[in-house]
Amino acid sequence: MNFSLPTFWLSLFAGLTFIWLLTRLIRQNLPHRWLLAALSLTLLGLESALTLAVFLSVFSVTYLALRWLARQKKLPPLFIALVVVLQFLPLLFFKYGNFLTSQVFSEAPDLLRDLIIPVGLSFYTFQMVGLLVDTVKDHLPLPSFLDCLNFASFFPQIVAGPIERRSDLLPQMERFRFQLDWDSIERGVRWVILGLFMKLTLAENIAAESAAVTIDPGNPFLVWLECLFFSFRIYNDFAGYSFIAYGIATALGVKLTLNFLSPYWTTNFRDFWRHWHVSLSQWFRDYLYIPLGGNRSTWRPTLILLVFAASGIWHGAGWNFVFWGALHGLLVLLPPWTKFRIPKLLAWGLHLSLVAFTWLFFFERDSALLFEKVTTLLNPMTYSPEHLKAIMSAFPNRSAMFASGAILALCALAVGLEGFSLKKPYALLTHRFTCLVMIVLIYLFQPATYHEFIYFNF
Amino acid sequence: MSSSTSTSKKWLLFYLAALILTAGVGLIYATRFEPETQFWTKIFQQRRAEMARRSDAPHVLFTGDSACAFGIDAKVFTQESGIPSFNLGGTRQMGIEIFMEETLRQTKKGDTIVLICNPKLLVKAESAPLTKAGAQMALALSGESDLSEKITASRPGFNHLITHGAKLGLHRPAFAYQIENYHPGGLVTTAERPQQSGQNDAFEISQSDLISASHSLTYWAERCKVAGATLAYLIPLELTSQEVVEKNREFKDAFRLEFAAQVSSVKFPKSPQQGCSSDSSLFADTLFHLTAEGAATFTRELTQDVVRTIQSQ
Repeated sequence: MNFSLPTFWLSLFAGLTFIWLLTRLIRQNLPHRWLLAALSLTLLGLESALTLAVFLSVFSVTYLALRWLARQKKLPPLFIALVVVLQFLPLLFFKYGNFLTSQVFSEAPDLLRDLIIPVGLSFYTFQMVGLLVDTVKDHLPLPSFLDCLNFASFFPQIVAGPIERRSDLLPQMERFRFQLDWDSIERGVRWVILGLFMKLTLAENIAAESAAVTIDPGNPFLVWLECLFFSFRIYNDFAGYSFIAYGIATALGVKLTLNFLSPYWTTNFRDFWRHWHVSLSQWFRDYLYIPLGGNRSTWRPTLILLVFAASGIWHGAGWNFVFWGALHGLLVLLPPWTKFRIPKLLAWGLHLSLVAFTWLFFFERDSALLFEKVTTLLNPMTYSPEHLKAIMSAFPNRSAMFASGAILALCALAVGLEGFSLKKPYALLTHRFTCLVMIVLIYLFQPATYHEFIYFNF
Repeated sequence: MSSSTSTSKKWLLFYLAALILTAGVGLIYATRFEPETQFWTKIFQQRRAEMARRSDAPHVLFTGDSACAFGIDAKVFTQESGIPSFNLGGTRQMGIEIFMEETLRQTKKGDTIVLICNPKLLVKAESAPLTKAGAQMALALSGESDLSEKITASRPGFNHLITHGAKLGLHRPAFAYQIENYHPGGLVTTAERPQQSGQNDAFEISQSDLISASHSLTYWAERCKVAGATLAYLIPLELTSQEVVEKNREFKDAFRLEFAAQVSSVKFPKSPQQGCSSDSSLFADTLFHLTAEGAATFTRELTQDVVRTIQSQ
């Protein structure tokens, strides 16, 4: 379910046209929720048979456990924990099997080494764990099989979130109907346009231009440039996906969580995580941090480090992700820059530099190279005029350097425009006239080749 | 219908109109202003005009990527062999379909087509769509293409548009080569300074790529046969560093023999210097483009083996 491929849009268009024809033929008693489930599962199945099979297995475990737990008068916490472990098993096997076994036995078995992680596994597993915990903890009624299936498989968000809560999404699934509401469709289309602009115009061109640059790990300016490239790329890639998902859902009359709230306009890490991948931050807060003691815990700093390290490992099976998460945890614990009475603009610059620096731990999987790059950035002696001059020779030609500068400027402009509408996120970028400009830029600027969304790997 | 709904419908139509309008503008840009397509279209048209005057005698038609366009002096070949010949080479970016189709268009019964291109260009799925440059060329040359090719051709891309715009702004030529770089007989030359160092990588091609390339070559051999021509494949000359030149020559010759064993319907003349040279004075602006003198030398060296191949039919 790759939103940047025409095949997805053709499949969706075909599915929705078929449903629209049905609504014209059968005006009453049309099984809207069954049709939604069929559409979601078909689109997931088109991804691969394995993707569908793994989803159905996690869903079956969740639904059967919910039914069983609903019949129990007293719920032993051990049983609930056991069910959660069962829900996590496919995720552990596909995503962490290789990493865990290679840590214990120095080399992972062949079966685990070449495993492909089924698309969306991390996201829907977390969503279903949330559903189970909320239902059991708050003694909520058992949802019907169909509503539960629609809650877990709602196609715009199954692949890469947002990770929705029972209280937000389930009631919308219970009353879901396919309607031709032009206002919702037009509102949704604007978010889709913004998402496609961020993915196809910004993220894809950043990926193409940065791939042409030769990074010398001993040159701090080039390593910073690499971090800057990645900062813009991952934001536009993931936020782009999230906005397309948000737009499709809006067009269908469903309100999802807005997963990004101008994160590069924050000035400290605590705020950053309230604006970046919002639904994941909330999940870790509600299902890990608070149950372990939360703000009242005497071990609060350790707990924050632990939760952020867990968030790191959620992103990928590797020590670099653990370090990345823990580093963010550490930076969350630091007092905000503004406490040091420094100007807000400087605080913003320092904060963004730190965010860009931490991305290094995220994208650099080679530990030796990571160490070298970090050492380079932290060593003041490496910031020499020779290294500054060497930036030009890192580009294959002047045209490539110019194009890199231009795409970075376009990304900065887009982030800048977000800042004009902080009270209502992305108001200026989803304005109708801006959308017209973005349509032109998407069509003319998108490169010939596509990369998968980065978060599909998580 | 509420006024809000009617406004929404109106804006949805505006979005659609903007998309269609942009596609139209992109299409006009691709066929009228895109500098690389403009250059190669002019070259192809010039060649068509020259080929229209060709005799019915069997010709040797050289075709391939820019290693052929910048590397074969057909006049030298004709002088050396006495066989009329022509260079119909294009570029890697436009893809094999474009220059092979163009060559087949000029082919007459009894001709020999010598394909000179990087073997990796042959490695692609048979049903793969045209590249952007290929779709633009197809559209500019014939005006006939299907909707998906038109869409591909009409999206120039950020890098391309931005550098084109910058060159226009700085009053610099939009493309590295001009029509003045063309010579009768099909050769394209450049006065750009030579490369200083050669390719340092070892030449390698995987078994699966070899099989894919064999399928592709078999397909084109069949197409040539239908046109009454014979297909030969020659490895292009590449500037290679002194350290790996001997090793790469061995690899390339072994590859040529293995390739020949896979595709019996195609002739495989030996490439001069087995496709590797460390003499940078032969080369122009890339590792594959030869200078005018380099092209003459390379053509002179390959003539004998190509003629022997033709006579062995």
